Amino acid sequence: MSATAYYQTLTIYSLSLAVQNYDASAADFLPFQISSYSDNAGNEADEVNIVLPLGTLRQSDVESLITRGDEITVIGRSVTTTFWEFTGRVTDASFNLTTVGLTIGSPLRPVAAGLQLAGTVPFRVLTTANAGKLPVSVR
Amino acid sequence: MDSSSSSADGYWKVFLSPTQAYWAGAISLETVKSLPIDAGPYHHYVQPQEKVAIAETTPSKRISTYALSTGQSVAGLSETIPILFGKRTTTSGGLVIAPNAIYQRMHSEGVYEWLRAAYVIGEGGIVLGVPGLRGIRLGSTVIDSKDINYWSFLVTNGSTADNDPTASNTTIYGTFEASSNLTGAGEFLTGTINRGEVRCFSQVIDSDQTFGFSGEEPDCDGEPAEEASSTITPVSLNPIQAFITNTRSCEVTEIGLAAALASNPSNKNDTAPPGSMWTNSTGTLVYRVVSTGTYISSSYPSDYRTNLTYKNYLDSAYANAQRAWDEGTRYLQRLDPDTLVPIPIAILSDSDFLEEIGVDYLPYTDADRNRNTTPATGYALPAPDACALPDFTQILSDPNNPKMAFHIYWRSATNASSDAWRQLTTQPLIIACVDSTVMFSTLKLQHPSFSAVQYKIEPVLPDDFGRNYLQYETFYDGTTTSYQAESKGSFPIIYSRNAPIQNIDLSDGFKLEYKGGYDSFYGEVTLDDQTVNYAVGINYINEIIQDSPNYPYMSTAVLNLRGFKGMTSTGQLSLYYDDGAEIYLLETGSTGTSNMFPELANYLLTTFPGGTGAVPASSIDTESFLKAITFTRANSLFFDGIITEKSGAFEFIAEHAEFFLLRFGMNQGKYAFTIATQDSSTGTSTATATQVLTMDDIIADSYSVEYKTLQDREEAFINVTYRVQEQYMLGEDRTVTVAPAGYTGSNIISYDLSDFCTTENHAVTYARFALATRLKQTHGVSFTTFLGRINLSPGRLFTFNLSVTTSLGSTYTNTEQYQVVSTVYQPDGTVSVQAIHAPTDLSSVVFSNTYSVVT
Repeated sequence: MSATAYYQTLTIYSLSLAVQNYDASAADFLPFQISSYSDNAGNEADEVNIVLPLGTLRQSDVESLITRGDEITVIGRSVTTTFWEFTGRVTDASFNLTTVGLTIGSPLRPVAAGLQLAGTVPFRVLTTANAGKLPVSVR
Repeated sequence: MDSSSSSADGYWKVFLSPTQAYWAGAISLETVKSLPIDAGPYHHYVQPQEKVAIAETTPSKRISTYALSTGQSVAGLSETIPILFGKRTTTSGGLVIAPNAIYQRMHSEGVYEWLRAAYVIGEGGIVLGVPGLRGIRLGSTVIDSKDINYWSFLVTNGSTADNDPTASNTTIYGTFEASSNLTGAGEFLTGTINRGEVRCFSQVIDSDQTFGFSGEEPDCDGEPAEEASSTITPVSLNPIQAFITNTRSCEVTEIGLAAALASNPSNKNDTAPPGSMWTNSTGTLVYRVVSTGTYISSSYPSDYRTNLTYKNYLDSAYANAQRAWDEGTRYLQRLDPDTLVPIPIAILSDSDFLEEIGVDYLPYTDADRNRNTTPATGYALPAPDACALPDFTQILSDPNNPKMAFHIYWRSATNASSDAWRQLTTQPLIIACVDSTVMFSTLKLQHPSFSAVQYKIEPVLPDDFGRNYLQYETFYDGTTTSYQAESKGSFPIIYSRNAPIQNIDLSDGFKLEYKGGYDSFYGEVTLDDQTVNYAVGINYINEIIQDSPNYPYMSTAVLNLRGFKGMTSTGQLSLYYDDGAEIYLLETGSTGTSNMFPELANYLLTTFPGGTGAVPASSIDTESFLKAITFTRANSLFFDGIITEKSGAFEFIAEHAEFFLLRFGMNQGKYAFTIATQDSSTGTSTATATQVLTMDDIIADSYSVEYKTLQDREEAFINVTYRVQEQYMLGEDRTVTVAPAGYTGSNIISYDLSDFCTTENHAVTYARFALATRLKQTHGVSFTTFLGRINLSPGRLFTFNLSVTTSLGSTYTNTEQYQVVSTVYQPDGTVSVQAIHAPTDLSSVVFSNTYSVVT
């Protein structure tokens, strides 16, 4: 059995950034780390955490990514095979003195019953703006 | 009796008639039959436990037969806008929604009341069709069974950003008020502000109040009654006030009145009773027989009659006049033959009147005096021409027509610093009706500003009115001095049968609009008979707020409904649809209706009304969705129902996928369906030969097997509820039960699929699937393997070829088939897998008769 190199590529479209974390001699090399990624037939949606060296992205770029929720595509692959591919939006970011962290989330995040959160796929509800002044509350 | 008075012991409620009391459920049919047909207002003592509880909100997603007596539910903010999804076939489909009301306004039109209500039906999708007319119900009544002149129903298709119902964007059934009472822009949801119909919000509240006069003595702790100070009002009058409080600040308060001022003459069946009209033999003179009281009041000036010093003398005079009446004398008031208004001459007294009937006196037959409801010769009720403008002077001058004056007072509902009531009306308002006819009228009170107000309505005692608002004309005909009461100028007259709109300014910046007149009249305000139980019910309060929402991409409906007379409630509106909303369909690439659950899922994910949804189309695993559509269609697993979930679309899809034998999740970063009984790639129930994992493929200590508990693997009866949905009819819930052959145990597991499942076949299929997952999928397995060994996408089938022999010689083998549920790609290049046992006969068990229907 031959060994299979496994690495990831990272594409941030809004920054025209396309890097990989396998071939250090290549121009597009960036030593980023990535968390596990899952496909499933259950009822959980996934998110992927990426850790980049500090200085890879400018602070203003990170703030733009998180503000706009830009799309990022991550691919887990070998030289010849793509094992998985995930495109999500930047839902969170963090800094420390050595790294920049990005969270790429699915738009299909489960929500607590009766609570609508940003980033979910909600059902539309009647609002004052849309539906006007509805009958008086009993409270 | 005060209809509003209540205590721990209950309260009194006044109904306009025994019939109304019957329809309100207060008395039995037998009681109604035992009462005279013209029994007048009915007073019913309501026990505390009889109070009507506020109806619980009817579930919007569907309506069941037991809920038909539930009142109409109203919409609330943050409630999910229903989504109608489905498509009727020859064997399945159809759905019923019970929409919530968003607008209610009552109207009064003289002899009847009518309601305009509006509803949000659901999201329009691309376009929502029109409900079948035969399937539009109010409670249990199909609206199509009513005369189209008594109702209209209008509906928008929800396809635009502005679905506020107007004359131009609605489909119309019926004719009643289908194109009137609109704003200038053709909008239906109106309120009257500044003398015009304006787009408004309106809600109806029930005041449960009555004002007027009761002929009974007041309670000892009540307000003192007016002294019986004159012969004109021989009994003490107990004035009853009504109090109304806004439930919210509003621009306009509309008060719906139901005036039942039926007088109670004791001698209506006499020959030539008071009110009867006659002509002379040539027909040139017109007379009205007036009562003894009227005769007395015409013979003595007002200040004389109200002076208690002369009470004994007047009582004697009254008794003499009454005795003469009993002996055949009649008192005759000359009327103008054209206007029927009294001529200012003395009232005649003819002691031979009865003998002269047919000779000198003939019954008056003109001017619509044709409603003779008694055997009394010459007595005929007025029958006003419903299409002619009323003559208010004539109406109010006719003692047959009861009338009552009242004032309105107000104070702030939100500022408790002053309890003082401020008089709103500068003149008394006079409400009139035509004898026993109940007159329905509306007082539209426009506030000076957006505010919540308390109102008090207080009747004016007849003697007070006489003192303050009547003048007494004295005339001498050469032999006799007579006195005739005449109003001091004109007064607002509330009378809404074919009457024009009147507007008057009230105190403190309030304005009043009403239908009726502003005119003068002759005669006392009260009848000269012993009048009791003058009751003006307040049937409804409309609270009007100027507001103009657009209802973007929502289908809305308007109902205009006329009551036979008054209206007290409506049943819950329910609408039958063959098909749900049209949406963009993955399968065809065009728009249309569908009953495919994966199409619904795609709509929920990728579409938000009026725009794109949270998930881009590129994030949908279209191939898996299309496979799921093919699978559900092939097995007749359809969705026909209303979605009103509060949680997100993700949860809804994931939770409901199972009922279509699907699983929902992610595959390669896209949202995908897998089929629980098939390989997600090949569509078969057997793993391909290459999908085999051996000991070399598994990291040894990662492998584990976990069995379901015995409780989850036991045989059971699977009981599934589904909905039989005949076209245009309300759904009927049915159950079907499936069990392993010969099972006689006590396990019963129930599922309710009636929200969307309309075929027994679907219910049975799911029951078999649920049973198969209990009995066949006995365990799951988790392990870690290496990348690239086999395809481990969710939904793929694979088999193990494992054999382990321990040092003690025991051997563990696993050659079973499994289906991948979850695949986690670890950063180190390994893959953690969770799979569920999926024996090769799983599919055949689900789609065969292995588990049979229990009858």
